[in-house]
Formats: sequence, structure tokens, C-alpha cells
Amino acid sequence: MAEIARKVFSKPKSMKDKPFHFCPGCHHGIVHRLVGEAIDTLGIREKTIGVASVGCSVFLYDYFDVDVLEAPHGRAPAEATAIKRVLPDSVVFIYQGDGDLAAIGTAEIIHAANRGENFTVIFINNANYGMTGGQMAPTTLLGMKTATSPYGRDFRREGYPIKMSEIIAQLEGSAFVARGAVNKPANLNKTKKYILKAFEYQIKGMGFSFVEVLSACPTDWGMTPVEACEFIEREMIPYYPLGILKEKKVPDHL
Amino acid sequence: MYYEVFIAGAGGQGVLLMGNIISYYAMLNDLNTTFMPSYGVEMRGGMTHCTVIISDEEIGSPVLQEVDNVVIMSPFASQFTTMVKNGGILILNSSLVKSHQCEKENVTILKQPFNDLALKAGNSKITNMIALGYLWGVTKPLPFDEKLLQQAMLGILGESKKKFIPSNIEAFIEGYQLGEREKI
Amino acid sequence: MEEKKIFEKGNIAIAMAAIAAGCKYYFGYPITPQSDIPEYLSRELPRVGGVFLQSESEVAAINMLLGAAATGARVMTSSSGPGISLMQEGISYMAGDELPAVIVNVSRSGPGLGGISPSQGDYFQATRGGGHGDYRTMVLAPHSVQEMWDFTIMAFDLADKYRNPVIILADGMLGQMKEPFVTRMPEPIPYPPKDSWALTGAKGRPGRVIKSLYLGHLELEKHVWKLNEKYERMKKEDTRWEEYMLDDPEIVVVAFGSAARIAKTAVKVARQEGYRVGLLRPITLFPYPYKRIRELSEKVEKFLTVELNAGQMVEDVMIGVGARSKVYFYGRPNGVGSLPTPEEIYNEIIKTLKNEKVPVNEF
Repeated sequence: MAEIARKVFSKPKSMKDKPFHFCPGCHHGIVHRLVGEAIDTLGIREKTIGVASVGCSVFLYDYFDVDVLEAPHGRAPAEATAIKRVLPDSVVFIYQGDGDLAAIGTAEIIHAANRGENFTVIFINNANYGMTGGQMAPTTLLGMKTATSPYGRDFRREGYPIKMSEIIAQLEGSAFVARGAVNKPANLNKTKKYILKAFEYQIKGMGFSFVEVLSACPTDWGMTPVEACEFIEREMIPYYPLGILKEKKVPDHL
Repeated sequence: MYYEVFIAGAGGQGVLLMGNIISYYAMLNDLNTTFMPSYGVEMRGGMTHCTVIISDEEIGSPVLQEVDNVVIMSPFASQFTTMVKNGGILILNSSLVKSHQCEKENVTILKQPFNDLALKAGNSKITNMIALGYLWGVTKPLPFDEKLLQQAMLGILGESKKKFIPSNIEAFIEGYQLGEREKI
Repeated sequence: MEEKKIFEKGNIAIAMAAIAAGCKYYFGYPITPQSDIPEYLSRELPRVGGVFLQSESEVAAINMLLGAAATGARVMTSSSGPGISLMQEGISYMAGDELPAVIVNVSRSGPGLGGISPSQGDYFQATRGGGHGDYRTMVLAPHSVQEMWDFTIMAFDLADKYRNPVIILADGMLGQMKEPFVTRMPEPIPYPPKDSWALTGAKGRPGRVIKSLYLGHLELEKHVWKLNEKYERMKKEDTRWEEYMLDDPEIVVVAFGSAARIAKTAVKVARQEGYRVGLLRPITLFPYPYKRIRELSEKVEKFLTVELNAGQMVEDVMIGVGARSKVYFYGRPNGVGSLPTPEEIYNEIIKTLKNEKVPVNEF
């Protein structure tokens, strides 16, 4: 019996054996896992420092067995900047949602990227404020109904959904920028590679690496998990195209 | 021992440098001293002034309402003639300050054309040092010692501007001798 | 470090002292009248293997401070009024996170954009926590360039001792004025090692977290009481003040920072003229020397508080005095030309003695 029992699935070693608190069908858990797998693959658990943001991702420290600092809303890029500057041999990642990164923390992410800070950003774009109950985010699609855009987002009132990856990619300081999704296996596998690559960029000292992940929030979207995955495919990906937006080949030097 | 002076002029005239040197010289004499500059939105050309106090006791306020000795280097700063105390000394740079008002009593008003004196010496940049020497000769904050003055100038100007010190000292002495001759 | 006598601005004394205290990291944003500090450190920190970073805002600066402090590094920022307001969010988080750091406020006048002249209008903000939530920061108030140096070094020790932000509350006058000061090392204040909590990568140990979020049943209350124990310890162990001519006084002048400096001259003159007047100068504004004021109020009938604002610290003097004595106030709420002179304060002392002023604690 023992010979044929082969373990095919386990939690990454860099993660704690703790069930996620996320809602059924939420993609946070999957992305957490991809980050954990990247840390394991690169063997960097003992020098990784994560920065958690405010939102559903705040409990990062409950799931990762690495050092974690909790940042105020939107400010994680500032904390990460300092940690990496003080401890240049550490591997620093921040994990932010769209309210955190694309609204209240726009200044911090833009300037960290523009300075070419050598850390990795995982940006969860689920088109709404998940934790506070599904209010409109800067990334909410046009026409999408949320708790604070009950008539559907109208560009004349609320402006347009913001494309953060495109903004980050055009800044001189960014080194690697990609947008992925985890709504189906093919997309998930690509996203996994982006995340791994983002960490590799940091380890090689290439500069700012940024991976946006289109994520489902079935609870706040009022959908089943399957419907939410289909929504990403049908509505989000056409507006937020997937793929690598930028990959520098060599680090910048003066 | 107590001494106070207020120096005002236009930015770029080296008014703050004058005050700095007096204070630094006092420090070299192991005295307490404060140097309070004006600071603000104006950069070059704006009005600037400083208050210097020297004392062998603890100095309270570095800012004074009225001052024993006042130097006015530019017409911009003429409004500060009111800073002088009754019975105090008011020194005016008569190359630029053509008219003045001072309603205080018993003020000794001394006029010297510092810019013209500097131009005559062939170096417009030493105007402030002639004025400083003159102030020193008239008001004698501390005994003049050339070595200490050199040290004070080096302390303020730094190594990179060391080469200007001899000409500054020369200008200072010219002003100093002029000041010493004043009968007050 | 070799002791030297230096003639420099208060701002430069702070910047130099930070390096002497082992601070290698500075994050900040320019604002008058403190920009000499970032300018100096941008030049000098790289020379000692440190990092100077000009942030995009004071909001970012304080969060960089938070990040650096979380690694156990000594770190400082400096700003003035409006910038310190923007930093309050981060200061609150740092207090909740129990992170040590030094925050310098070379304050200017407000509210709003106000002006750049010296002011003590940030007293409440500094001493009452400033940001949201139930916390305090330690506040040191220098009144000379020498103290700008001394207190900066002390501030790092005190921050580490309590794992709490320490604020140096100076003002434009102290920042811009030059005075000779000695680059001496004050008596070190012992503090516990940081290796039990600093985030440095989980080498050979489980991951750690630094956070201020406590959602569990009674968790936050417990945390707040724990923080409060530190503030109580600060009161017992690190309340500081200076007494000047306080022998047998008929009236006590209470003033801090620049105002105390101006008041000292007035007190000295009044003493020379035979008036029994002394000065109490709080050095720590939190913790505040209530106890000493209370003791004095048992013998002294009149307290005159002098501030460069419309009346803030006077409330603390009233707390200390209780119903025992009369509290008077003289304030010049900042702005160009409104710095009080020693003569002005002298006149207020005389008016108070002659009962020509109305006490502020008679309701």
C-alpha cells in the first residue's frame, strides 16, 4: 500500500497549514498559492518579507510562513521600498488589491515603480472593493453594478476603469509587467510563470516587477464561482488583455 | 560681556556671512552666541537680515525687538532703521542708502560708502567685509585678532573657499581702520 | 565620536546627531523651515553607507519609516506642520505596531498653509496622539541648538526603549538659528534588543508578523492596555523638565521650546529687579511634568503660561495645578513679526503679579 500511495498535492512549504478564510470561488486563495509555490521553487522562504495591504488580502500573515508587515491602506509600496533599501539581500513582495493599489495608493505604487524599486508586486484586480462589501473600485468595468454604483458604472459620473499594468509598464523604472488570470487552467499556468518570473527579476536585481491578476469575487459580484470565471473571460479580459506587457532584458545602469 | 547687532540688506550682499563671522569669532572666544537669520520665500535679491548676540551668560531670545547696533546695507532694508535702540549706533551703506528715517533718540548715525570703497579696491565682492570691519572698528564686539578672524572665516566659508580669505581679511582691515578712526 | 564644538543651524545639529546616533536611513519630503535636514542627509548618509530617499509625499515618507523600522533599523524623518499632519496616519500605525522611530517637527504656523514663522501650534497634535486611535507618542521639546543635538540622540534611545515613535517638537526659530554646540554623546538610555521582533527574513524560525489589526474577541482591548502600560512607564521613568530660578517663587512662568528661551530672559530681568519669579520648562511634553507642577502649586499662587499659540499647553498646566492656584496665559499665535520679545513677557509677569490679568482657570 505504502509504495503506491503517492502524494500529488500539498501546500507549499512556505505556507501555513491553515484553511483560507476567503469566500467560495474567490481567487485570492489560488494566487496566494502561486506566490507560495514561487517562494518554494526559488528556495527563498528564509529571506522573504511580505507586505500585506488593507482589504481581503490583509490576512496574508495567517497563510504565509514568512515575515510579514501589515501596511496602512495603499501604502505597501512605501513600506516595501524601505525594507528592500535596508535589507537589499531580502526578497520583498507586496500583495495589494485594486482599491489599495489603484485608488488610495496610486501615488505610492507609481513612484515606487518609477524609482525602479527592486521588489515584486502582486496586484489583485477583482473590479470591486471585496472586504468592505463590494463597492466600486477604480477597476470596476463600465456598466458594472456595485454597492456604490447601483446604476452601473458610467464614465460620465465615475470615469473609466483604470489599466494599472499599462500605466506601470510605461514608466521607465519598471522591469517586468504582466497581466494574468486564474479563471481557467491555461491562464493559471501562465500566471504562475509570470509570478515566478517576477520574483526571478527581483533576485537578479532587474528592478520593479509587477503582476496583475484578474480575480473573481463571486460573493460581491452576485455570481456563482463558475459564472464569475466566465465573467472574467467574457467581460474583463477583453478590457484588460492578458500577457506580458514589458520585460527588460538587462538591468538599467547609469 | 554682552553685544548685539542687527544687519540687514538685499540677498546676495553677504549680510548673513557678516553675521556668521561675528558669531563664529565669538565661539572661538568660548562665548555664548546666537545667529538668527531671516528665512522665507525670498531667494536672491529679496530682503535678508540677521541678528547676532554674544554673551558670557546664557542667551535667551535670539530675536530682538530693538538692537544696540544696526547695519543697513541696502535701500530695501531701510525700514529696519527702526530696529536701533535709543542711544544706539546705526551704520548705513551710503553707496546705496541715500535717505533714511530714524525717530529714535541719541542714535549715532554713521555713513560709509561700502560699495564705492570696494570698487576703489578693485573688488566689488568684498563690500560686506569692509562693512564688517568697519562695524567691528566702531563697535568692538571683541578684541580683533587676525589669526582668529582667519579661523572664523575658514569655519564659515569652508576649505573650498579658502582662497578668498586673504582678500576678505584685507578688506576687513581696511574697514576696521576706518571704523576705529570714528569719534563716537 | 570625537567631541567637537560646532557652529551650525539647529536643523543641521539634528541631522548630524541622527548619524551620530547610528541612524542610517532617512525618508522625507522637503518643506520649509526644515529642508536643511534632508539636504544635509542626502549628502552625508551615502558616505556612511546609509540611505537617503526623497519620497513622493509625507504620506509615503512615514510609511517608508514604518517599513524601515520594522526591520529593526534606526530611522528618522523630518517635516513641518502640514507634512506632519499627513504623517499622522502612519504614526498611528507605528504606535499600534510598536515600532520605534524618530519624527522631527520643525513646526511652522497654521492652520492650513499658515506661514513659515516659528510656532507652537502643533502642541495638541504632538501630545495627544495626533492620529486616530488610543495611543501616545513621546515628545521632546528642545530650546537650544545644543538640545537639538542632545535630544535627537536621546530620542533614538527612547524610541527603542519603548518601541514607540518619538517626536522632536522644535520650530522654525530653533531650526534656523545657529549656535555653538558640542557633538557630545549623552548618557545612553538602555533599550532591549530588537532581534525578538524585527522582520529580517524567517531564517531558521517561523515567520513573524508586525501588525496593528486585532479583530478577535477582546484582542484589541488587551493590546491597547499593553500600549498604555508603556505610556505609564514613560511617565514614571522619563518625564523631564528644567527649573530656572525657581527658588521660593511668587509666580512660576511655564513655557517650552522657543517660548521658554524668550521667557528665560524675561525671568532673569525680573529677578534682577527683585521679583520672585522662576521658570518651569517642560522638556518632555508627553509625558508631561504634572507632578512637579502640582508640587509647586502647593506653594505658589500664580502660574503664567507663555506659548507661541493661542493656548494649548496651558490646559496641561491647569491639569497640574488643579484648583490650588491661578493660571494665566500669554500667547502669540505665530505669524511674521509676532514672535514675543522678552520685554513683552516681562510686562506680562508684572501684570500678573499686579492682578491686572484674568486667570484662565476661573470658570
